[in-house]
Amino acid sequence: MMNDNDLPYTPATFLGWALKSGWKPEVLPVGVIFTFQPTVERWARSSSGPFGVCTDLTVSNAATFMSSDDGLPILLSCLNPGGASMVTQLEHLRFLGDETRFAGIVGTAGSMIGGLNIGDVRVVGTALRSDGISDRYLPPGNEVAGDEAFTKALRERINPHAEAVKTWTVDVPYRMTNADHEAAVAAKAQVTEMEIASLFAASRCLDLTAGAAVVVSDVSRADGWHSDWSDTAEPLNNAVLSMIHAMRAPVAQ
Amino acid sequence: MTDFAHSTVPKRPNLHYLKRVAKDLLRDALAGDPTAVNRLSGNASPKLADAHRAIANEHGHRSWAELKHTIQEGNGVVAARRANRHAMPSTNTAAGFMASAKATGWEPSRLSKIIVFVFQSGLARTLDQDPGFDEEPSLAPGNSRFFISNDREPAIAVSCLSPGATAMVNQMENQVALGGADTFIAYNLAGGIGPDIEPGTLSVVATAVRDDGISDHYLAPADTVDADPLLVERAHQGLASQFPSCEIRSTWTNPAVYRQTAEELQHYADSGVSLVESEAASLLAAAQSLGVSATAVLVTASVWNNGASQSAENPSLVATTHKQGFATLLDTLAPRRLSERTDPTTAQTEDEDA
Repeated sequence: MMNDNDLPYTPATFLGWALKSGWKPEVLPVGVIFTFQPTVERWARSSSGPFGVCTDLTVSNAATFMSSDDGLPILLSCLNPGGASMVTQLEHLRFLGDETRFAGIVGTAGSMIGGLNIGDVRVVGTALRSDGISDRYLPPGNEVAGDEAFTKALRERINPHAEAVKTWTVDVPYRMTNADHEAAVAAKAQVTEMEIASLFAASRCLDLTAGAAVVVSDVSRADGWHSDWSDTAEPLNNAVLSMIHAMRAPVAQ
Repeated sequence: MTDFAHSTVPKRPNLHYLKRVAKDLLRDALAGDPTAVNRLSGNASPKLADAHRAIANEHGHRSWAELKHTIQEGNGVVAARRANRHAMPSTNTAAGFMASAKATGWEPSRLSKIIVFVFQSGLARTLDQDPGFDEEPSLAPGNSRFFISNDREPAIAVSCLSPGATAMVNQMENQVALGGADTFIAYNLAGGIGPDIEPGTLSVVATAVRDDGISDHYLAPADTVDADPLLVERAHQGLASQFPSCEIRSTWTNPAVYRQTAEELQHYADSGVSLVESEAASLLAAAQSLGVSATAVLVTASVWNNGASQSAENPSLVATTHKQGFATLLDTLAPRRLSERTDPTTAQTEDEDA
């Protein structure tokens, strides 16, 4: 695995001039939650969400919020789909200080097997690495797991009756071949999405505790994929709240 | 026993990169370089297969085939099928996604023939204030902004995304499925590689090194992918008229911005690749696969040279070039209609009055 001496372009290179010119984020979060659905962004922006807009830790063309209650600060980063901006923001938070210890995803996913329906929520334990980004952070391998204890804590808060699932992380949505799909199902993948393997891999490399939860928004049937996002908004918001509590609990103890 | 003492390969195995290293080794040995000949067990007249075997041995493998198999197996559960993945139909399509969206009542707004992808928030703020652009949320990917011109011919749209290629190629597929844009340009900041490029330099991309992961979904495996030469020429002509240092260049596309190794950068510097960024190869590969036209236009923000990366000493120069280059690019691709143009003399008078 690479060490920092091998990497000449770092967050220090990029953020260095900003720090020199006096920029300093007001608050560094203990955890960051990445999400990719606009319904979550709208909820976070509304008065019913427990967040305030955060302008000093944002990513280009994305919306970022900081928890606004009295608890430990948690950042909610609403990005476009895909892992590239997400891992860049993780690197920035890691560079800025030791405060950030947790990284999570709350997103939607397609169900690849029977028994999972639209609106169902599952915690993800392991990801198949077809993402293109994870091998920048870890030696080659087929899978990467989230943090075991954090995954357990998420399951207890989100869905204690269901086992953690395995996801197949791909880097584009419209290029899933039948052969790839079958191989992923044979490897026990139950859902598919586009970011979790990248998060788990980058978090391991950067020494962050990672976990993920997904809400099923698409279902694979014999005649193709069927989507329905109308039933995902509330489960997504609830999963974000549960993840906030799961991040705060071990720090507060 | 593996001996990495004289190896120049990165610690992260990458078949595309190792192929290039083998070619370099062959070239050096044939030129009589004693170190290269020594790495090839004294063979001064080697063939490419000998170079492949030497590189494999240096990585602890008996043969090139064994090394290749190990890397492909390790690159993901479905990586072994990469060779023909691009030619196989997908179970999930843009047409299917659009049909699902339309079934729920979604309808696209007016479409444009050209889309420029941008990745810096400042340009979105500029467009927000520009009366020549209307925001069209119905065509924006999740958590992004999308603007369409109202005073240019042809209509041009600007999609403001977070860095990374996933949402970009997703949007390209959706546009093609809708019968919308057929020309796509990524306008972004990039890193410069080597001594010949300065911060604040504009470049039009003719070729991208495919180290991105996404391009394998769209094209057969290969080292590089080319932009549409006519579009490259057109963009270059327009930009060079305002920015004389603008040149046509090649780029290395790497999806994780902070994971470029010094060895990789040196290799690409030696190979004449001038830039590094995160989207171009994915854009060009998707465009070729979808039968549409594409290139990337890049502004150098930092430069790697002599083993170190440095940000621009004058960030405002980069910012100014970035903003002015964007305006020139839009005018090149889709000029404002004559009746809509502001008379600069009048504008100046109004400014003075103000």
